[in-house]
Amino acid sequence: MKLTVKPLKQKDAGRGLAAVDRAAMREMNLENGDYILVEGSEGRAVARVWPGYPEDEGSGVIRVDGRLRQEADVGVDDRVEVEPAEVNPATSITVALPQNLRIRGNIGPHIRDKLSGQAVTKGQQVPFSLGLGPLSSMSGQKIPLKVADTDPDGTVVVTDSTEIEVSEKPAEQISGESAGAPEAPSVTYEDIGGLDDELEQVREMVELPMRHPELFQQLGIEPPKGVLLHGPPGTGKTLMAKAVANEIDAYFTNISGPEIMSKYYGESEEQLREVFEEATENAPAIVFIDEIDSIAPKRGETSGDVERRVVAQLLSLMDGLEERGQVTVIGATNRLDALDPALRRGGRFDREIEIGVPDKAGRKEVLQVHTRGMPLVDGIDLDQYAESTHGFVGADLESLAKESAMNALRRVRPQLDLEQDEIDADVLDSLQVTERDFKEAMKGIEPSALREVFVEVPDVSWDRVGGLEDTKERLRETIQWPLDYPDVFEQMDLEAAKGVLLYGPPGTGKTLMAKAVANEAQSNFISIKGPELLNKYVGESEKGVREVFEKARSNAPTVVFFDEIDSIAGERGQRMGDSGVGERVVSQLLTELDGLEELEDVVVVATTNRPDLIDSALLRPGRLDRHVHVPVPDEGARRAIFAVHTEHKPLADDVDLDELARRTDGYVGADIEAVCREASMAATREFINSVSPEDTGTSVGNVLVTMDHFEQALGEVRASVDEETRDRYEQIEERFSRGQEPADEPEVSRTFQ
Amino acid sequence: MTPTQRFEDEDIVARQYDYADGDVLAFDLGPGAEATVDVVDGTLLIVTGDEQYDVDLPAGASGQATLRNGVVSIEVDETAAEPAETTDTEADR
Repeated sequence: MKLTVKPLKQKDAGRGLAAVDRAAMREMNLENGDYILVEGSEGRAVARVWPGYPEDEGSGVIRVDGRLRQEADVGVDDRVEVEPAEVNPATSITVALPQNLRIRGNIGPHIRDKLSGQAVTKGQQVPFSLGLGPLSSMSGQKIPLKVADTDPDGTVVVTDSTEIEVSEKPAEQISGESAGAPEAPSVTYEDIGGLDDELEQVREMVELPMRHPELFQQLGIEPPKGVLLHGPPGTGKTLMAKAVANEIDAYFTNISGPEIMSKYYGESEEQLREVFEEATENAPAIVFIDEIDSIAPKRGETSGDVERRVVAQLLSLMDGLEERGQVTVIGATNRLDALDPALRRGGRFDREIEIGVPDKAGRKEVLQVHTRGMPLVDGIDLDQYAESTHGFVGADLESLAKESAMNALRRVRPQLDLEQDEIDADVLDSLQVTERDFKEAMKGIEPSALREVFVEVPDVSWDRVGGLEDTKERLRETIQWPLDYPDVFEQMDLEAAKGVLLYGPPGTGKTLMAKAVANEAQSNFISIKGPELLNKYVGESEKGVREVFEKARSNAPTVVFFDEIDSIAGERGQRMGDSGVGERVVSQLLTELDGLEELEDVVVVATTNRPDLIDSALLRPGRLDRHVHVPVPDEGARRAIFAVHTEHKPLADDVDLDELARRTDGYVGADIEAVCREASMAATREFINSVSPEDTGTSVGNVLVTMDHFEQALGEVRASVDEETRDRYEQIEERFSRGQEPADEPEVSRTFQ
Repeated sequence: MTPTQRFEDEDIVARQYDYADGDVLAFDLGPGAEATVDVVDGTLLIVTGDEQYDVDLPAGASGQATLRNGVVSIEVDETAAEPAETTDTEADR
């Protein structure tokens, strides 16, 4: 019976399965697992029946993956004839390998493992992956394997007990009946992960007009002429264009910007015309212009005459007097704003499709695509990697998979003899990618969109922060909860706080706390040191702020950390000395935090020890709406801080941390750290001066930091906060909690000066 | 833990599909896999070579598991099974 072809889900691909709609199954009297013959107009393929997806029920759909589609020579949405197939298990098959493949030893079992379950016919060319898929460019280098002979004849299925013989003659010399069989598809729809909606849109724009132009005639409209794909680098724009071209079997031609440029007058435009002419002759055709911003920049802003003429030529080719016929143009760019506006109207690029950074489900699909041909050991949980790769685009995930495989390869490299022409089959078989390989690879790869602003997430956990329990708890509520419990927040109709302001006297641990947040929140972390945003050109400083938030948005969830925010967000209307840059930066910050554009899953953490200097508009709810006072530590907190800092120091028994905590009233975290450092330094000094240099190595184990050393240290390090400062901060805290603006009284400021 | 999750580590595709008239659990052991399946006391036993997998079936399983060319499928009655979407477990590599 006739069924409509649809793509399989990524995870089911590559097993020779065909998910058949259950109604059709009943009609044909098929059971799960039966072999069926899928017959397209040109080719045929054998597949095993898999229960159809529930959403397909009754719609007459058969879902097969790209390999089977290629074999049967059908495209998505084609109708194919499906019937039960008589397939015998093979007792033996003979395969021929390409001549240039250099593998020694018996790879029969390996081939059997890989081919197991595939239905093969004599003369058929089977794409065969050697297992180290991602080492080559696209989703596994496939070796074309030719089936030279089968026993019994006809279509047979390879089972675990089939004997595999490798033919002496290389594949090139065997002329099977389908000698001109098409190459394995380079990119199929299943190779694109996480972009289902976008793919659907592109297909609607490109595939439909080519297959069924009459639909558009009936509606009395012109079919769409062009699609513009845009999005950050590495998200799959080019891949998608390739896949579409591949799947619909249209003539495909590619324009790369620099290639058409010529030094002769008028020649560049001519080359462009030639490409379109060639496409028109071979219609239906797709003209793909990668990095279209390089040949079609804004005319007003380009310096060269040539560029302007090329743009004009492109415009008229895309929507000129001459009919372009069934030629669809797909453009791809990651700088949408750099394009000439005339290109972006209907009739030229009718639709602009954004290819965004994938979400968790998308990332999992992409990982599935890239690990499909990879021998993973048991127990690798791709979900976990999808979860922890915020901000990774497809290309990053691909390099993650590739790096993991490279790590696996590094393990077997000592066994490889590079002098030899061939590689032992046993070695090939022993190659496996382990959990550790992935973990190692994760360390080396950071999301490409964040590379410019990426900081190594500091290795500080909450227990490195002594005391400050309340503060920690409030930070956790604000930053971690919305990410960890999104359902609860949704149910409670609660919006996550946009930002947190940490304020307190210097040295109390504000920055340390932010580091802990970055480490524990499992988000991407962007750290901004205020003054680095400033730039000598007018408008560039604000642009810096804009770019930071742009990056944060596209890599959400993100924590944006402003250290010493008072340096860039001072009260407006006070100082006019800097020609207003400071004010404009503040305004930009305000609109970014609470503007028309929603900040989703982006939390701003700012620290300052001069909260009175910060522009009050920044402190209102909806912007930095949580104000957390990081106070001078009390005795209990000091005890905890001492414990953190002396954790790895060799302490003598007489050191009493409680006593130390009691005597350090007014000391902040940084002071206590200094005390501990001074004490160990004193002990070290004593030791080095008393022992001859040769003996240091042997006797260093006996050195202990005693209470006397701490006494000395206490004598040297003074409390950095006095009673007055502390009172001031407490007043500020009171003001904040009463919702008043703190900066109105000049008195307050003077105290800090 | 859903019955299908334990196959994540194996080279076995395990899916649960939720149809209007009941659920279907399906496993792909790979064609030509020498296996036997049996249902004992609400547990589906799959034995391939020297490995055995037990799958606890929800109450109401029809008790008939079929094995064809490596595809194991068993129907689960509507009333008992949790109305889950296509269970997203992965054993493919």
